[in-house]
Amino acid sequence: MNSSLGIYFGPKAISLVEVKGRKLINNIQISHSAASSGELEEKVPAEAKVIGIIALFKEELRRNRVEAKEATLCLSGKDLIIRTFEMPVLPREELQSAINFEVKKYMPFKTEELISDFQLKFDKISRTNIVLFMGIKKEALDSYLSILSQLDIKLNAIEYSAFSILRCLKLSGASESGIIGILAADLPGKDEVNFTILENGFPLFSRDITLPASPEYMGKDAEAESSATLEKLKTEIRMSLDYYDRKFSNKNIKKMYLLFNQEHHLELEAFMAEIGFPATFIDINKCLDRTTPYSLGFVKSYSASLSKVIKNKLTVDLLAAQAKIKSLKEKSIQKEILSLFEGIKLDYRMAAAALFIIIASIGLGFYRTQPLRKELETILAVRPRVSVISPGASYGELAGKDTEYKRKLDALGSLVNKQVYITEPLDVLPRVLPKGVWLTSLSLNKRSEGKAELTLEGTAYLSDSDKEFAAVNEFLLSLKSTPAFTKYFKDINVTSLNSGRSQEVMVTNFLISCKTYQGRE
Amino acid sequence: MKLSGLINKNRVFNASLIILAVIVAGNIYKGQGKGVEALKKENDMEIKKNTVMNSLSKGENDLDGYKNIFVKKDAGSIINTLSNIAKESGVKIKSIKPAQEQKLTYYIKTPFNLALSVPGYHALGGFISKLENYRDAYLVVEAVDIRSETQGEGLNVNLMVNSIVLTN
Repeated sequence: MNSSLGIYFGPKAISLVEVKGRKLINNIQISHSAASSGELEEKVPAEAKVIGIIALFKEELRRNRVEAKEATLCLSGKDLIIRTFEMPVLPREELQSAINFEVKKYMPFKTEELISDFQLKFDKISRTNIVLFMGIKKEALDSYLSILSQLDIKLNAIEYSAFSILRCLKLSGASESGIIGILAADLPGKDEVNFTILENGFPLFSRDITLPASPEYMGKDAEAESSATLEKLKTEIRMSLDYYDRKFSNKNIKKMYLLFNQEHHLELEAFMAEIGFPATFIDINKCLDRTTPYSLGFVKSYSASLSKVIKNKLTVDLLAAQAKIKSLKEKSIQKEILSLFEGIKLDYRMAAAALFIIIASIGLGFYRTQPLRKELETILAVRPRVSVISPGASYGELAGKDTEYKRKLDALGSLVNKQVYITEPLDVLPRVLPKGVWLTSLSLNKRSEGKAELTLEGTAYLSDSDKEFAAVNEFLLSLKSTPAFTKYFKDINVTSLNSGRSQEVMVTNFLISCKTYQGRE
Repeated sequence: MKLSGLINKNRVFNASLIILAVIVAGNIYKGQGKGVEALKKENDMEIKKNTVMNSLSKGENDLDGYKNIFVKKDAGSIINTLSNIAKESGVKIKSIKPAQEQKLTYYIKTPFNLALSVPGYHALGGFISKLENYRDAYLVVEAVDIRSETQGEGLNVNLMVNSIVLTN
């Protein structure tokens, strides 16, 4: 069985009780002073207070290793509006508006600001319905729901603390039948006092009493203060009973049950006897498997935590009421939307115009893209086929291949076109040799691509050295002026020219260098 | 009074229909605009591709031309060719020595060192001319050294001829 929580937001403290079945597991009290910042509390925005409470809750849940993931919320009378009133018997559909009308009498604000639920009890004697009305301001409910949602705790129910206490009666074995009263108070704890009168478990009257402290005794005499508070309580009980008697004069209280601090219960029992009510004291510790110091906050939260284990006769459910309102709102919005479309007649001319606009826009798009598609087809149709690359290759791949081709073609082009073909220069040489000049050797060396050197070695013999020199010079000029020779050789120079002896005669020897490039290398 | 009662619902509904159609048409037009832009970009890209493909096609043709020039032949075949040309030109080959081939990026050079005995300058010219104009292989004279024979009219010639073929 999973554990569950009972959380009581009291005026002085927040009380948390974790139970598994009926077994008490954790009892945690969080003082409001721990969640607020003392004197400055009123200046702190509500959102900040909620954040503070959540942080405190989380810390306490973690520290006490609380595992429960669901809770029953138990609220004090200051958060709720509890009213019991009589109404004539009405049809169900008229009942809600009649109750709302009646409730307006007791409330200083609009019923629209309230989440409420009610329960009926038919009174055979007066032949009227007794209505138990319970409401909470939406703002307050949202605030509590927000806290629990942020704690990731599922909410089972929201209860009035005075009604939660009724489970203690069942737990103690006290009978709920007939008209009984239950007074729950914690004078030292200064919690809200609850005085409820029930008829067969249905509340006829309920009152939450806040007892103000007696300033004359504060901090001086605790016993005197306690005694003064008790007297105030007695007065309040008398007033409440007077009111009850006036309202339900024919419904006499049979018995009074007291949930009270041990030290005052005898005095209170005596008081009840004095005003004519037999009173029974309920010792909560007898219902528990362990002794716990008396605290009304604990009793309330413990009773709330038992909501799934001990059912009471009350069916008022604020959570369900909230869900119902939400659903009604949604339905009314849906209805309003649907009502907008009711009776609408479609104008076929408008529908045709709308259709035309859409078709026209599609047609326009087709009209805009068609020339581009044709252009694309033409572009693809004229694309040349290249065997080395697929037509679907990307632009980058194509450009890469093109660059590679260009490099290869450049290399081969320069190999063929910059080549020195020796045929032509060899053809030129015998034609430009002047009379008396002949070559003794010829050598050609290609150093690198496009770079070659032709060396011509020869002899001139004209019996006159000047004429021989002139002949060599003429040979040089002829070479320089012959296009078929200069096509290849750009730098033609005499390297040496000297007189020498050959076969007993004086000759002029020469050496001519012809380079395909300018200057020295 | 309800809102629905205050307005002529038919008019509102039918006008909404037209407004909705205009919005839908607008969105279709916008979407198509993006499509048109994409198509334009695609066309531009395809035109650029065509330019490159044209260049590649021309390059491929040029390369085919070079493949016809740089015909691959083995060393034995080249020696045969050289011998035949020499015979036709009246040149005597004293020796032929193929040297180590040189692999370059786009082509391979195979040098042949020839020692020739040539009766005259014209015979040598004829031999070199035939060599350089030979169609079945690309032959280039890399080096020439011509010297008169010590006795007689003949010439001693040392030639280095390169046979060039394309790499794959």
